[in-house]
Amino acid sequence: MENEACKKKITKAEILKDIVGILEDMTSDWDMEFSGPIGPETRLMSDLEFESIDVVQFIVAIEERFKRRNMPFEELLMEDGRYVDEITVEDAVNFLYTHLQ
Amino acid sequence: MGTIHSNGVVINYRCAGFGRDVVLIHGLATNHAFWHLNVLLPLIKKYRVTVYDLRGHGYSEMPPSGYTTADMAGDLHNILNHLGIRSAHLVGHSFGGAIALHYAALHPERVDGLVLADTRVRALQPHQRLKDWPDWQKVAERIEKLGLVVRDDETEASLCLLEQLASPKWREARKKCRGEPLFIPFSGLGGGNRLAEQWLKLINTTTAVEDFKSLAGLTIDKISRINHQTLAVYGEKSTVLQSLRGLMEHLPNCRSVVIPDVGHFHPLLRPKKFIDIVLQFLIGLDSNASKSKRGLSKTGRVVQIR
Repeated sequence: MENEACKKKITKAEILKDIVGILEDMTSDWDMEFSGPIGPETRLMSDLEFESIDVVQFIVAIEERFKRRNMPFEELLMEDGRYVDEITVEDAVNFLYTHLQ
Repeated sequence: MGTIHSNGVVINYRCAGFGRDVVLIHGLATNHAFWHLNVLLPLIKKYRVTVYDLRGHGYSEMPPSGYTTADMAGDLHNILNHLGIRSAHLVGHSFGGAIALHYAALHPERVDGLVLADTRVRALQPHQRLKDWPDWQKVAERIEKLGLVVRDDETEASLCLLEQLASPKWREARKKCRGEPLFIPFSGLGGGNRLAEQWLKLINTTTAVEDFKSLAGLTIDKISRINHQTLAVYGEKSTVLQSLRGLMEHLPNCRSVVIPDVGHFHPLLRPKKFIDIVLQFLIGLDSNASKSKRGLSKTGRVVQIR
């Protein structure tokens, strides 16, 4: 079933807003040094201290929010058969913008 | 993702895919993300896969006690019941395999097949010394150079190393050594700092360490009565090959595969090899199960028995 976001031709700004919302929900009760607002430049690993389990949780939350399964998240997460060292919010937005069209 | 209350403890789980059921059970000092990229994603093309965080791990709750394989088999039982899974293939790495084995002994009717990946079975391997490591001299040199200490008479070498690797003083070393097999625990994304802190909290504030050491009733006698088709996949340089030899001796329907040049973390280091072997085993079991459920009626017509 085609999701609503696709029908409206979702913009990068809308995706960014949703991604930031997901990340704010996930990290609201975390004890971390990062205190600034989450934006395109925010780094999931270095700033938000994401570990593997948080990345999985992030993916599941994205799939639920955008009502899309089976997006090739490996492209975002993997390089040479292993997890990448860093993902920025902008990386995630660009990935979704490509695969939600 | 969802949660259940299992004997008063919140357990985090996730289900994905369609088909026959497979449950993946991770080992100590990690969480369900252990399986995500290399095992869960390929498996969900053919199976409905359930993963969960062991109590005291990941997003599951950390109760003050109840960490034996029997307690954790109880959590698995509650998850299967909650999801309405009548029976499933169980795939466990390390301590997760011991939970799968214990569950098969307690609830044989709920298990279709077993995959034990580099599992230490305490009844078959009561002690784990550094000298049990096939390359132990090389490993010992590396350990000493890094300033880690494992005494010759230490009978819980892995638990001893895990505790040291989790300590805050290893924070930087963990980042530098990322990807090195010895440093796989706590060397994942973000340096594994929260994972390390969670492990220290678990071993220092609960009965976990004593519970991990308990047989909890899974004796050799009980193991020898487990009749499930079992695949034991171990690394050639594993520290728990004594368990593999014991399984081959005592489990009636166990076959083994040894992955060359890798140790305990072979599912992460040789993921393609691991998933190919597991898929071949599971598909073979399912194919045989389908055939055995079919029979010929007196008129020669093929009938579905169940």
